[in-house]
Amino acid sequence: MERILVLTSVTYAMKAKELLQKERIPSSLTRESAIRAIRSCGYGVKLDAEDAPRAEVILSRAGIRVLGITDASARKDG
Amino acid sequence: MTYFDHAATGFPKSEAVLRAMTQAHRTLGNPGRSGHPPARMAEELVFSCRCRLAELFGSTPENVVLTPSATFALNLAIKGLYLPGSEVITSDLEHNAVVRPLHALRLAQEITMKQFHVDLASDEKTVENFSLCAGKHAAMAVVTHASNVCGRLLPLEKMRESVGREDFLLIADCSQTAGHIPIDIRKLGADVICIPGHKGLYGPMGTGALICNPDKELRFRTVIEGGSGTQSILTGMPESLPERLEAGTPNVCGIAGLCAAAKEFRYPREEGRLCEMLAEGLKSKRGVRIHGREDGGAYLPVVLFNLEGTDCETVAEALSAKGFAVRAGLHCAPTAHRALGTLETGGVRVSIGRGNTEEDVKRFLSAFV
Repeated sequence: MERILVLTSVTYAMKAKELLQKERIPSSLTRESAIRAIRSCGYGVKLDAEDAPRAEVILSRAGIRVLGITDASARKDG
Repeated sequence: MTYFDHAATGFPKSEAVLRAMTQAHRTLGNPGRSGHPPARMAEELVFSCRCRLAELFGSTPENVVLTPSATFALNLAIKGLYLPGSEVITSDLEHNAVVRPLHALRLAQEITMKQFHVDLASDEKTVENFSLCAGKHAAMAVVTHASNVCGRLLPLEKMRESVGREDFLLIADCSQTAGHIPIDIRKLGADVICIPGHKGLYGPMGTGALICNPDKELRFRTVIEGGSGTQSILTGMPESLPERLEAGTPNVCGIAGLCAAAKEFRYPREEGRLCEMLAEGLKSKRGVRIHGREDGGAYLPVVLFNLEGTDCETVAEALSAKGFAVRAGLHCAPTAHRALGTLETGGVRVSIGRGNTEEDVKRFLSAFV
């Protein structure tokens, strides 16, 4: 199961992905429609659900605001 | 042609820059707008450029706003950060990229302005002039890091230290220094630095950046509004940098070139020595008068001179005919020329950069009788 950490912009999403990579948490950038439920057409980083809590802490410590967390499997196209 | 006009734009650009731009033109989509591979690749490229510039200037990628020029960056910074009704100070060596936006705000009665004198012979005196001018009331200073006319470097770090107030903002125009000398925005004490991509960094024309001090939390008023790719449901621009100041599709091909230039970039080692050689050689020529160059001051590799009895444009044309590219006139900086006493005459500017050699300088000097 995968989760998406929704971020404010593509720049923060790229920065988050890089930071998580350094912490050995694999992630990928996504624009899945589930993100829209949280805030408009933002960007998110998709990662393993087990890594999500630790990833959120890492990003928060780095000053990267996580707008919300959503379930990647809950997406709907449209 | 021997190119001595690097203060206008660094020349030539490298093959790596050209290749990166061509590749971008052929393969990249619009960054930050879509999820498909061409858009993704463009996002990675843009982010990579931000990272490299952040590394070069001591900031973080989200604090690097990519702009079409240093002038554009200065407009975003000045108009985005001034406090309505406040006093703004600036130097007497400024380029029109600083003078004109400030003048426009003054005409609109948004700000009042005061100017301080840069003492070419004494940094201590310049710091004192700056501190006195800032006084207790000025809210912001917009100051060049080095003059584009005579190359004089300003002691920005000491100037900022002389004004103890935390809320005093410093916007530095690093158009001439970026790529010529190492700059760390924190050490410089600036809140914002504005740089061109195409001068000392040798990126393509049409590129530049506004870079914020990562220790400061700056809230910019927007000057340009439009699509940002994220948070589209908002009627206002997103709050966070860099997207807040980057409305519209960016110049991805230019950014690709800038990224390539910044990645291969190395600080120059020989420019200062060549410039000293040039200045000393010119001094010995009959009828040549050098302006704005005093002993004891720090300078970028720029020399301003006039030839007695000959208009500066005529001198530049004659030099061009002999194979030397220099720039004559007021260099978009009448304020600086007024301070240097050359407002009426203008001057001939010789600026040294990558690729110039001792042999080039010798041939240039031999062009004078």
